[in-house]
Amino acid sequence: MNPTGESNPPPSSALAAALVARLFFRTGLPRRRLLWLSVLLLLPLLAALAYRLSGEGEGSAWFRETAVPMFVEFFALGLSLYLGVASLADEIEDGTIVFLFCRPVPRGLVLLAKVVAVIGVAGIGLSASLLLVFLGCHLPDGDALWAAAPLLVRVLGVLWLEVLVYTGLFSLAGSLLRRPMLLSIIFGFGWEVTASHLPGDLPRLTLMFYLRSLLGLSPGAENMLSSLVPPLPPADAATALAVLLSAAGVFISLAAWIIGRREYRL
Amino acid sequence: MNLTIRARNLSKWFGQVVALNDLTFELAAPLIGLLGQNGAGKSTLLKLLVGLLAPSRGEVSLDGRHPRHDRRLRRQLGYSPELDRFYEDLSPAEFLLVMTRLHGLPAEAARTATQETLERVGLSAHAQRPIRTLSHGMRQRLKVAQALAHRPRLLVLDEPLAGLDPLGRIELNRLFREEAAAGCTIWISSHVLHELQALTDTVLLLHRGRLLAEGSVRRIRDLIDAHPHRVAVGCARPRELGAELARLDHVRRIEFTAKGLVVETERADECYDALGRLGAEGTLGIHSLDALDDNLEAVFRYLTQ
Repeated sequence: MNPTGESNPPPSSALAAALVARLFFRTGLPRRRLLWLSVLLLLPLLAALAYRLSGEGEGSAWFRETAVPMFVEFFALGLSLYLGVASLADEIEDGTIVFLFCRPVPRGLVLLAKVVAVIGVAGIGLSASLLLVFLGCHLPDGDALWAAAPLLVRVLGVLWLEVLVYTGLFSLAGSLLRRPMLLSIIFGFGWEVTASHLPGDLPRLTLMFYLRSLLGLSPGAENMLSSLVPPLPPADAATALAVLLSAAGVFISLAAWIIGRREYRL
Repeated sequence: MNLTIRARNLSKWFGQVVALNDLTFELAAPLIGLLGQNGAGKSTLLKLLVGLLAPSRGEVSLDGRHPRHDRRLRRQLGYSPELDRFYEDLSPAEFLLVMTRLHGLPAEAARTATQETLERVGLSAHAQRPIRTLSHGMRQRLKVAQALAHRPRLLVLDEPLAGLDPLGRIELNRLFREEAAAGCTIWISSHVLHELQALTDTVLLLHRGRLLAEGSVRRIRDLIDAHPHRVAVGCARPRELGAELARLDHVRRIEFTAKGLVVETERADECYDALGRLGAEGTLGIHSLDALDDNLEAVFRYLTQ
């Protein structure tokens, strides 16, 4: 066999991204991790069924007031955090990233492919889980189901957007920090969730505020402090969308830029 | 034609630690050995060659081109890292297929290259097993396979023979020679001169990040042979092996260890030949050879005085 010349060009960006994403599906989601994610995503369905069986109230109200905030503030955030950090940090820590970095593929593209793969996995998982919960809350009442369908579509849109923006944020953490998981958990659940509920202007500094705004949820309205500090009204949809999409763009671009320049101990 | 590899005032540091200090050389040989103890800067130099690291000062170029950001140049490089890390759930065939495709080979060519390479490194029979079930020797071969499957012009191998059994060493050395004969430039690092000597006469000797010597293996070997050489041998039947080695006049001492024995010899070449022969016979269960560093340390002390 003779060594190759320059006759074969490096792979196209689309092909390289597809190969890296496929590698992530094959290696970044081992059976045990998939099993835990499936169990996690089945929990809301179990909760919905338990609520329906208890016969205490309307399923549609429970979906709107309990399930939707639970998905937005816990499941979508948690899944994006877990997979977003792991997509890159796991490979850096394991040392397997060296096999990708020594190929003729831009490092930023490696990150982008992983982010897209994570968004796909998290988005599909969350959508399926939400759909099951939605059906569990509304069936067999067909009228209630159709009446709540627009809310379902809106929540699905917000969840995909949330996965995009938080996956970007946490993959940035994975490219930047040596032990990103703990700090990401503190930031995600400590800052994003808690601060977005406080009255006053502080929620404007969280991404969660804009996500909740898209669903018409106001921060601090149900908070004891709201009697002292007036709660912030939700941001309008255009502003919320602009902030979230810009943030996602900045996070992903910054992560790609960092990974292209940073030197990891490989 | 071999790639010309040039380093000019090449330095690399990590924080306060200087890994490479002001290296200047120009080499265009088919097989180049990089010799030095652990921590000498060998791995850092090899990572700079394939663009995994950027120089802190100075530059390194391959035929005048810089590997860090030149994708077309990186297309022609193959790198086998020192660390034993893999995508453990993949099979060797899956792993090689993805890696060759990421190097730009079309699907069919990548499949052919995967099969051929697995055959060349002796892993065809294990192509579909998960990598986590492979032995250390098989994993070493797989690391080499992923570096050469796309037929690079420059093959950079970081300690590819470490911990291999004698037969494995012979087979991989044969493979490296075949690649070099076909026009591939090979850089190979080791902390064992005798490993490199079997492959090439051109070596760079690194010590604490500095280029200590460049040139013929023979000259360096003469220095090393003035000092006794110690080899740790992993084997299933150390007592029988000890008895065989004790008959050789150049063996000064034998110590038994938990995994086998350590033999101290005055003539390392002959000792390696004898161990290779005994290993190939297969009756004593020799599974690993590791040269201990102390004789090389003595040479470094001599050269730096």
